[in-house]
Order: sequence, then C-alpha cells, then structure tokens
Amino acid sequence: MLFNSIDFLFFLPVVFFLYWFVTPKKLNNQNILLLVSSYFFYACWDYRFLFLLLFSTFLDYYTGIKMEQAAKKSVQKLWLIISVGINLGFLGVFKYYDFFAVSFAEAFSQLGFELHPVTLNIILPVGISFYTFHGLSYVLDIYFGRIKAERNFVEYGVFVSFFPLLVAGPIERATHLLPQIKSKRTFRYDQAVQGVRQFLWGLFKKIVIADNCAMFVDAVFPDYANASSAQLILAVVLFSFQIYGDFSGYSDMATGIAKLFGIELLRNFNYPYFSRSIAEFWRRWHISLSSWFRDYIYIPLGGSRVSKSKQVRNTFIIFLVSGFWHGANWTFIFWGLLHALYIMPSILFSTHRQNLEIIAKDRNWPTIKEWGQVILTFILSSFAWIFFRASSMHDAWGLISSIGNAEGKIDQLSAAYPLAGITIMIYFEWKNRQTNIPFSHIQNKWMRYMVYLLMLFLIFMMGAFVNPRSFIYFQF
Amino acid sequence: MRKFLRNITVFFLVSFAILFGYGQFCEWFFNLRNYLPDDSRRSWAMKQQNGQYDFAVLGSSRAEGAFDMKLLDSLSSQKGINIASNGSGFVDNYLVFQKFLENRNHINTLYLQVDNYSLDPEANFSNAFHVFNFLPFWKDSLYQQAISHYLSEKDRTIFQYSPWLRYYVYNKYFSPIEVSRRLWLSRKQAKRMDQKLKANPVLVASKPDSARFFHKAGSDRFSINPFDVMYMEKIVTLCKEKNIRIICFTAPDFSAQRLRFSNYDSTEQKLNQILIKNQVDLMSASFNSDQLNNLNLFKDPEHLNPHGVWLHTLAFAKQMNHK
Repeated sequence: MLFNSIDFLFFLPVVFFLYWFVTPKKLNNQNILLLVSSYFFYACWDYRFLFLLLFSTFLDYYTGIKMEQAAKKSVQKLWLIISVGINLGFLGVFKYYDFFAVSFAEAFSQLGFELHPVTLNIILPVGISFYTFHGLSYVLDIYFGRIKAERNFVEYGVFVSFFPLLVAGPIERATHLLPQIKSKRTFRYDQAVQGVRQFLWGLFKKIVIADNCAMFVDAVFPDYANASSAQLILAVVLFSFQIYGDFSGYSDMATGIAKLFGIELLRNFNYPYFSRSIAEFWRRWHISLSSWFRDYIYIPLGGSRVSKSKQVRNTFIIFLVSGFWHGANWTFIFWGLLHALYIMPSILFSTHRQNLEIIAKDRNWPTIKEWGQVILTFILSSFAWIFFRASSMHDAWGLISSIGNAEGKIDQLSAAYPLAGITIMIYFEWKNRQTNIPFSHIQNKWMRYMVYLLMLFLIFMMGAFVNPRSFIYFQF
Repeated sequence: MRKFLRNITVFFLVSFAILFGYGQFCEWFFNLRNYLPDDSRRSWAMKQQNGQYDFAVLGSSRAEGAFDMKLLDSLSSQKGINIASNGSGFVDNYLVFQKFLENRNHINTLYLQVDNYSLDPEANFSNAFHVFNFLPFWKDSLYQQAISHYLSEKDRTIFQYSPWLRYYVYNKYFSPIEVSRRLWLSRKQAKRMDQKLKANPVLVASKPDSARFFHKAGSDRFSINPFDVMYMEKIVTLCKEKNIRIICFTAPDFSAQRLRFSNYDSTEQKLNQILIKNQVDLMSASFNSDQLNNLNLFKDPEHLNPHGVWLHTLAFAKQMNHK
C-alpha cells in the first residue's frame, strides 16, 4: 500500500477516526490500534514477511530485557552479540547473500578457478533495512545505558513498526520515539494542520517531481548508447531530483501522517541541494541514517577526536558501510567511496564543520560565492548519483563516456513536466528554507489556502499516474 | 478537533468541486473540440469520414513510416490511406480500424503490417495499449472488452463511476496546455494538419551510428501474447465480414535484429503459421538481403529513413501490382 494510492486514501481516514474517536481514552488501546494497523499496512505488501517482522521485534524486545537483567557486563555483551548477530544475519541472508556468492565466484574465476555459486534469488522483504536498524539502535542504546528496556511489548512493537516509518524510515531512535509512544497523546490542531501540509508537499514531490523525472530517467539510463549528450546530462540532473523528490517526499508524507496521530518523527531532509559543500550535504541528506552511522559506528570508532589518519579511516568506513547499506551492488559501494573522497579535503583541512547554518540565512539571496558552492556541490552529488542509479559499474562508466560523444537521440522524450515541477519545488523550498514546515512563509491564511488548492490541482494535472512507481527506498 | 475536521472537509469539498468541474469540462471539450494533435494519428484515423479508398495500410510505426503514400498511389494507380500509427499493437489497430469503417469509409484491400514486435507490444512498444486515445469511446462495448485486459477491475470501477478522473490519470494528453492549444487552433490550421497526416509522415534523416544499431536496451527474446494474436484474428474476421481483401506484410528491419533476438526466426515461423491458419496472404519481403544489411537505408534498427522509404515504396508498389 503506497501513501499515494487509492487504498491508502481509505486506510488513513479509517485509522485516524478509530484512533481519535474510538480509542482515545486508553493509551494502550491506541497503541494496539497502531500496532494492528501497522501490521495490516505491512501485510498489504507481503503477508509472508510479517513473521520476519514479528520475530525481529520479539528478538530485540526479549534480548533488551535480558540485557538489562544481566548483572555482568560479559552476559550483557553476549545478549547484544546474539541480537546484533541475528539481525544482521537476516539482513545478510535476504539482502547480501547472492551478492557475496556471485562476487566470490567472480573473484575465484579471475584466479582460474570456476565456481558455480548457489544463489537464493529470494525477494527482499520491504523495509528490512529500516526496521532492522530500529531494532539495532534500541539494543545498542540499552547496552550503552542510554535507555531502559521496554517491558510493554505493544509499545515496543509500535516503535518498530509504526506504519508511517515502517518501510522507508526515517530511522527512529528509541530515545526519541518510545517516550512519545508511552505518553498520552492529545489532538493538537496546529500539529495536525502541519501534518496535512507536510503530507501535501510530500505528495507533490513524489507524484509531480519524482515520478515525472522517473519517466525520463528510466528511458535514458538503460538505453544510454542511443541517447544524445543533452539527454544524458538531463537524465543525470533529473535523477538527482527524482531521488530527492521520491525519498524526501516519502519522509515528508511519513512525518505528516505521524503528526496526525500526535507523534513527531525525526527530520530526515533539510534542503540538501542548497548545501555549499559535501559535508553540509551529508548533514542535510537522509539525516536519520547519517546520524545513525555517526552515533553507532563513527563515534565508537573514535569519531573526530582521534588522529587525522584514523579520522580518514573512520570516514571511509562510514561511507563504504553507508553505500553497502543501500544495496548489494558494487555501484552503491562506489557511490559511498566517491562521497568519502569528496569529503576528504574537508576532513584533512578540518573545514567539515563549516556552513552549519542554512544558506543565506535572514537574507533573500546567496552571494555569488555561495551560488558557485551550491552548484559545484550539486554537480558532485549528481555525478555520484550516476553510480547509484546505474544497474552495473559497466553501465555507469558507459553512460559517463557516452556523455562526451553521444550522437543518437531517443525520440518522444519530454522533460517539460519534471522541469516545471522542479522549478516550483525550488521556489517553495528556497522561500521556506529557514523552517521545517512547508508553506509557512505564506503569512496570509487565504493565500495559503489558495496555494494548497493550487498544489492539489498541480498534483492532479501534472502528476504521473499511469504506471505508478513505488518509492525507490522501498528496495533498501 | 472539530475545527480541524471542518476545515479539512471544506478544503476537500472545494478541491473536489474544482477537480470535478475541470473533469466535466474535459469530457465536454475533448468530445466537442476534436481538432487533432499532430502526434496522434490514431485519433486522426478514427475521425476520418466518408472516404473512398482502394486500399488502407494498418500497423505500427514500422508501417506508418514505411511508405511515401503519394508515390505509392501514383505507382499503383490506386488511392490509398495510411492509418498506421506509432506504437500501435493489434488491439489499438483493431479499434482504430473498427472506428474507421464505422465512419462510412470504404476500402477494397487492407495491408496489415505484422511482425515479431507487434506480437508482444507490452515488451516492444512504450504502451501496450493506448487507453487515452479511446477515452471518448468509454461506453463502447468493443473498447470495454479491450480495456478489461489492461485496467484492473478496481480502476475500471473508479472510471466507470467517476468518469472525470480519467482526464487526470491521463493528464499528459488532456492538460490545460492541450485545451488551450486546441482552443487556439483554427479550422484552417486543423485542415492543414489533416493534410499533413494524410501524406506520408515526416521522417528525420539521421546519420547512421553503429552504436544505435547494435546496442539496444531491453529483452533479447520475443514472446507471443495470445491476447494480441486474438485481436489480429479479429481484424482478419472483420475484413472477411466486410468483404475486404486482407494482405499482410512485414516492413524491413535491419539485419542485425535477427542476431539481437535469439528467437527471431522461430517467432517469425510461428507468426506465419498463425497467418496460414487464418488463411491470410503474406506478401514476400520487399527488401533483399543486401538492402537489409545496408545501414544507410535505416533511421534506426526498426525503421527506414527517407531513402529506405523511397526504395521500399517502389518495391511494395511492384508487389501490389503483381498481386
């Protein structure tokens, strides 16, 4: 069930009504409702994997309690290893097994040994990387003494499987979400209105920008040898906006829906394409994942309070793991490596903590220098996206080499809709860049309503509804 | 909560009124103002009326762009019309042909383009079926039969009870831009466009590029979709009912295609068997092997360039006269 589907249009009001009108007096009933609706939401994709979700939830719930009960640190560590091992084991089997099997076979064939790997060819359970990371953050936080183990299974179950964030994040922390689930929620008008606004804006980014860009990108990337140079460059630029519209659109919708239920989720995107450096880009892109890696890998490795050489090592580890988290393909690993290389100068010269504020704060326009920095950062990130989007390293290099010498032209390709949508998005995001809530720069109430209507009309007039595409991050 | 529910209800009611209003307007406008967009030969073909022709050509872009119709008319001493259109499979072709005949157009012979590509339009064309071209005929039972194969029960129910929603789902073709374009299109311009579509389609001469001819994304195997075969047979039946002679032909494609698709020859054989079963004549190939190997006659692996079209028209006229 996609957020932009007809099914969801029925699902959301029903759950909303039951939540606020049938179960509002008892917190436990509200949580049971959220848990049941989340499992139903997940079952709409593939009910067979509900068992996996349930098992993973129970595993972390149980090991969390056991870890807390253990008197000795060694026993706690044992429970932690069990939990982390099984969680990563599931991820390894479902997501990475085939990749390793084939890669090892290829490596051996280079040495002259022919191996015939057994591949599983199993489908990847949707959202497995997200809910596994939820669970991991929970047990790690208990181990490090940041939180206490949760004794109420329903509440813990809601933390792992709350339907807005279940399949594509944001990757929540127990320290942030569990206290909200455990406390009574009251309906707040301003919060609900913000939620609807955020949902509307996310829907616009997904349907108008991402899905329209996808039509162009999907025609050019696999057929790069027949495209013109202009089409190839445009496809790379459009993919940058596609993945942003798709993923940040999903995050906006998820955050908006959660607000309707009185729950605040972590912010996942903070206008990343207005970044003036790659370091700033990573503070603004997929924030919940970046901060997860920072807190659970980078800082335990010593973070930036170690020697330069170790900082360099830690940075490469983080970006390679981040690339690998996205998928079992060398293209993702190279994408991570490329970003590690991009960020290296700022690590070496200790400039990575610059530009902490949003660009042109309290000003209307950026300086020429800032313009240049934003454009350069966009070019670098777009170049890296080529590897993220390409189905193989061969295709990625093939596309890059074709940019300079392409003579073909794919017929009947139009970028008018995506470019129009991107222009509208950049305008609103620029105007709104100092806040988190869409359209909050419009002071006049009636003007704001007109903009909402315009957005809805644009979604219907420009949205790509034929062959609706799933969200890109569902595959991770 | 009450304020929230009231505001959101009002907002959605106003939105619905606007969307519903525009949808109803589209329903009225696109049926009334049927000047033709230049990229939709299907709509153009379905709007031809009271024509008297010796022959018609029906098929995909490989037939649409394979003839110089004026030259073909003069060489064969016959009057023909090319109602083939880009990306059309047999389902599209059947419905277009049906409408064409329904509009009191008369033909003696139908030249139907058949090939491996059109046996599985889902894999080889950008649209398996052009739902949007037939939206004005939504209530037509023939259209409903075809659409049931491509749209889910749920989508059909939604469209059935909220017909205005169709114009949003296919908004690319029914946008306000398209409305304004048609509003500003004068009858004179529309007539000029009609004449342009009636003549042979404009082909852009492109420089042969080997990468374009030898690298192509997509499947390397053909498949046969029984639903499309069924619609090909429906075209044959329709011709028999209307006493129209039907002759099938295959437009030339570049020889490397035989290597690109591992089952090119076997699929072609199966296609021939289907034609034999239906007692339909198949014209022999118009190009010899040298011509099929000549990159300079093709715009891309599946389509001829202007020089190729000229040669193909000459060869085709010769065969027509022979038949």
